[in-house]
Amino acid sequence: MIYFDNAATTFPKPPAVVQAVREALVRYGANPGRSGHDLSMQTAQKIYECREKLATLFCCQSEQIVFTKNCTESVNIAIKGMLRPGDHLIISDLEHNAVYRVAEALRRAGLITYDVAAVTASDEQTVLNFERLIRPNTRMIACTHASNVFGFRLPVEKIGAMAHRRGLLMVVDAAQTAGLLTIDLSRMHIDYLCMPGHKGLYGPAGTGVLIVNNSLLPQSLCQGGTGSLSMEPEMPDFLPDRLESGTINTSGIIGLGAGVDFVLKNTPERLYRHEMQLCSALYHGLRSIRGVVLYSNPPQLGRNLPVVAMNYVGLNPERAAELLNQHHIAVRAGFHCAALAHRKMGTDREGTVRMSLGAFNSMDEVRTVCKVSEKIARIRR
Amino acid sequence: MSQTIEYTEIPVTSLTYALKGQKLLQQCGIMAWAGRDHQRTSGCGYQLTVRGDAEKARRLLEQNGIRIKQLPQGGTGR
Repeated sequence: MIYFDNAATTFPKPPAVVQAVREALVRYGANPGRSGHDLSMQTAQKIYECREKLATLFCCQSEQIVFTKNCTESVNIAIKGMLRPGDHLIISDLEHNAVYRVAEALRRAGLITYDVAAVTASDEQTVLNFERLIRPNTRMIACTHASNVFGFRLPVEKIGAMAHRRGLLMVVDAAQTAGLLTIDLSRMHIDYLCMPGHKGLYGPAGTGVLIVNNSLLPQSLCQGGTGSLSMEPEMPDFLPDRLESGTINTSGIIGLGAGVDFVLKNTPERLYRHEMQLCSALYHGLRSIRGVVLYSNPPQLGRNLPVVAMNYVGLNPERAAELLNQHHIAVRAGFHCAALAHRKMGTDREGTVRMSLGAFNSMDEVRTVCKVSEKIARIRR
Repeated sequence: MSQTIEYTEIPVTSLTYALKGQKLLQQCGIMAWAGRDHQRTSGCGYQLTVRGDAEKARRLLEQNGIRIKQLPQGGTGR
C-alpha cells in the first residue's frame, strides 16, 4: 500500500515507537503520579522523559507540557479556558473545525463574538487583515500554523508579534506543523501551542499536547484527580497538574516519547526537506496530467506543507479516493473538517482529494501515484 | 565511629517538579530522589529527598524555577 494520508495521521510509525508502546504495556504498567512505589515512579520517569524531549523540541520548560488526548482537546482548553464572556476572538479563513467550531459554539452560547481574517499570499497583508479586525474587547487570536487542506503556511510569528503588541493572547493550532516546522517558543510569539502527538511527532493515536507559554493558565475544562493537593476542592494552580486530571495515556505518551526521539534525531528541517522534495515531484507529476486540477501554486519551501489538494475533472473526490484505494493508494477526500478553507478556495461543493506525504514515503511511490492518476484521468476524459 | 548522613526532605508542588528537581540536583552533584511526601496535610504530594547540602539544593531548585511547597524543617535522618 502507498500511504499518502499522513496529514490525517502519520503511518507507518517508526519501529522504535511500536517497541516503546509494547515496552510500556509490559514494563511500565503502573499509574504515574498517583502512588510512590517503584513501578509508579519508574513509569512517571518515562512520562517525564517525554515532557523533556518535547521541551527540547519546542524550546520551553518540561512543566509547560500538558498531555491531552489530541490537538482538538488542546485547542478547546486554550480557547475555552482563556476566553471570558463578552470577549472577541479572531480566527483565520483557513481554520480546521477544531478552531472554527469552538468559536462558533461559544458564539451560539452567547459568550463571545468572533471575526474571520483573510489569509493572503502576502504575509504583511495577512497580518494587516488580522489587525484590522481588532476591537476594544478582542482578547485572542487563534489560528492554524498551516492549512490542513491546501498546505498554505500562515505567518504565525508575525501575527503573534502583532497580537502581543496589541495586548492579545495568541493560540496556534500546529496540527500539521509540529515536528515538521521549527517552532521555537523562546522566540515566537505564541502563548498556547496545540498539537497532536500522532502526526508529525510520530506518536500513537490518542496523544496530544498543549504547551502553555504564558503565566495566565487556562481554566481546566475537566476537573478531577491529579495526584497532587488531593484534599483541596479546587484544581491545582500549577502545570501540568491543573490541566491533566484523571489517569493519563501512559503507553501512548511513552510511545510519543519515542516518536519525538525520531524527530529530534532526523530534525524537523531534514524531514521537511525530504517531504517537500517528494511533494514537489508529486505536484509537477500531477500537473502534467490532462484532467487533473490542482489548487495551489507549486510547493515552495517555507511557504507550503507537503500536501497536494487536487481533483480529477468530472470525478467526485470521494469516488476518486475509492479508485485510488483500488490501486492500494490511501488518500483522504471530501472536506477534511475544514469548512472555512473549502469555502475560501471555492471547493465547498464537492471538496478535494488530499495527498499528504510523510517521512517514510519515497520517490518510487510518487511515480506510481502519478501513473495511476494518469490512468484515472484518462478514463474520465 | 560511624558518620551520620543527613537527609533533607524538600516538598515540591508536583511530581513533574520532583522529577525535574531530581535530575537537576544530580547533574549538580547532589544526590536526590523523587518520591511521595507522606507528611502533607493538604493531600497527596511529592518531595525530593536530598543527601548533603540542603541549602545549596534548595537554592538550585529555586534558581531553576522549581516550586518548593514549604521550607524543609531541617535534616531528617532515616
